[in-house]
Amino acid sequence: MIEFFNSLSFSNCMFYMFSGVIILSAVAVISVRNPVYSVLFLIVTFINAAGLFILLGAEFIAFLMVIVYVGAVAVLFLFVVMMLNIRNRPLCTINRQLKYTAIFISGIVGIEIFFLTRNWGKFSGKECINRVVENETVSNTEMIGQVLYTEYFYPFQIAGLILFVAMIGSIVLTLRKRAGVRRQVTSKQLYRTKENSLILTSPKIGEGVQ
Amino acid sequence: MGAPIFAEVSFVIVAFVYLFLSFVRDQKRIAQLLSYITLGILVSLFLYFIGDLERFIGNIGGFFNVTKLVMSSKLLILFVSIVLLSLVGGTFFWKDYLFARAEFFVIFLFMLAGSFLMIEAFDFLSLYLAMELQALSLYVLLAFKKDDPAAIEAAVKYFVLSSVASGVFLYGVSFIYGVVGDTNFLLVYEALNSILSVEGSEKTIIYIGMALVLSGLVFKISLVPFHMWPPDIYQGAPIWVVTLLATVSKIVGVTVIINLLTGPFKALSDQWELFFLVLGLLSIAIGSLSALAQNNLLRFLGFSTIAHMGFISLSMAGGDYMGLEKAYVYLIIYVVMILGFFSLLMEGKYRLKYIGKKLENLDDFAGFSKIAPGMSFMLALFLFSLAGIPPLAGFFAKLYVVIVLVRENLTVYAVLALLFSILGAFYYLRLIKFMYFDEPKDKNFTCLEFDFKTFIFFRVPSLLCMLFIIFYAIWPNRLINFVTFIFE
Repeated sequence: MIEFFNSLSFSNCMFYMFSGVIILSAVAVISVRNPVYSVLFLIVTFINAAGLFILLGAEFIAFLMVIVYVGAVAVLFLFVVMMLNIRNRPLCTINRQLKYTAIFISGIVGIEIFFLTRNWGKFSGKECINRVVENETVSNTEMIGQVLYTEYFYPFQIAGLILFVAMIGSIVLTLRKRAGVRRQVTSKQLYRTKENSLILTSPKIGEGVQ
Repeated sequence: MGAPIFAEVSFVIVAFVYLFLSFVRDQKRIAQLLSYITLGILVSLFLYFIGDLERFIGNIGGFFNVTKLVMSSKLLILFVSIVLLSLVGGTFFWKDYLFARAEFFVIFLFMLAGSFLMIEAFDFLSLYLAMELQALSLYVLLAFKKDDPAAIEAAVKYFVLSSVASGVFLYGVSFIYGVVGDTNFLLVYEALNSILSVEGSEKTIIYIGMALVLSGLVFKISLVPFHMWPPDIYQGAPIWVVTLLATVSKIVGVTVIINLLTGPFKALSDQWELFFLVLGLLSIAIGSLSALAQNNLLRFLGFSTIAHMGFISLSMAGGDYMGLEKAYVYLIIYVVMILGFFSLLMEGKYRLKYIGKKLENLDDFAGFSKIAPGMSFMLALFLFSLAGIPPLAGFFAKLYVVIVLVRENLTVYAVLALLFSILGAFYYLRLIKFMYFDEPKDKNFTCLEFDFKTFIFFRVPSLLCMLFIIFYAIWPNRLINFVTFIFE
């Protein structure tokens, strides 16, 4: 036990802290009754995972984690959960069959991870996998930027096109003209002149404007 | 200089320009204009490409590699899209303004760019990205008919299944990357060659990876374990998009698979021959048997697609360049047949809708030869060709596959495939029987009149396809020689 505590360096300490919080909050995500809390715990999980990436020296992925998952995905979840108005349901209503399926699938993933950790050495020795981080003096954000815009220029551009198509597609599919909606037609507004919109009369008492 | 991906870049640039036209208020007129402009662009690209195929051959950054095979697939896709745009013009003429928006042409051009990039991809990374670009555009096109629940259902179904398929594809790529350490086709090919010569446990990982990669791609051409989508989607989606799925998507799928089989997986031919043999036979069996129970025409065509793709798969199982060549010949003939058939079907649908009738189920075709004699004659020719009746092109396509199988000593499979396709032939012939030997449902029918614009938009493309399938028998060697030339 004492040897274990002596071996703890700062980064080891941080690793145990981050992964402990990840496990606890991941359990909390599926066991908390209020869905809003559960999404908040998901955010805690993501932030701690970002911490793990920083420990690994992959600060770019860490920031990506925070910006994309916390900043966009989790906030979107939060909006959806709050808009759906889901009641707090007791946990035991979960379908039993579904529970067994979940256990089965996580069992498969568990076995895969087990075998992967045992055979780790087989795959890490390949030269091409570590090709990007060969220059230690440059930060890896800079390195990724350099590779992305030179060697991987074409795939990067296609990825951009994919996002563009997704954007256009979602606009095309959701924009619809409904009947009975009063919209602003700028050209009609601009075509209005004094002649066709203004009447100057002097109504007599008791008759009003005809 | 940049010539190999000239077409894709121009598609993207033109699409961006079109996007600005979606601000214009009168979208119907803009869409009509855009359909002519796009048609012009595609025709000029077609003529530019056909002038000198070998000028565009080259490799770009290790991610794309244009070969003669890729160029000929591009030409085929361009031909199909020219016909498709003509059909879009036809829908506008029949006052169907579903596609009358500038965004439609933007997404269509992105779909074309994605297809082109996909067939010339030379790296698993760029292949995956191009696949997503094409698939994403297809999802949007499928869901274009927002008010129709059946179309939305079809779109969601395709979206979910296709996403799962690309997930499977990526999973397979991760296995190959884990063993080889790179995703470039050439490097994978060299690495697999050296790995397979040594005994070791990494072989299994490669086999699993290859099977998963091919499964992800086989989804696109709907071979049997991944065949659940065509019937439902053919029935629900707008018929123009169905035509797109039945032609462009299949050309791309088969070309990419041929690229993989002659490229990175060349050393594994023993394994993938078995894979395609089993899948092909199953596809023919299930496609032909399930088609028997259908009453909806488009559903039936969905099953018939599965059976036809089964023949292509069987031909690939012949291994060697011979089998792949004949698979490609089958693909060309199939695409031309189905394109002509669909453009006739679209014309029939619009014309009957105009006089207040439907053309959905098979018994709607009762006495169709008296209502529209010319159209029924052409439909009958296409059906004969799809069934594989001798003087027409469809017969030769099947014949080549059988020859390949017999040469490879797989005679049993050839016999089984032919037996199942006889079952399928019954069904094609039944439709002809409905058209020619049954009386129309209401007695006082009127003959459809000749209409010049409909003739130009719908009939001319299908006439071109019909000429191809009739006169193929006179010069079969031209196509064969061309395919041999592009495969060498």
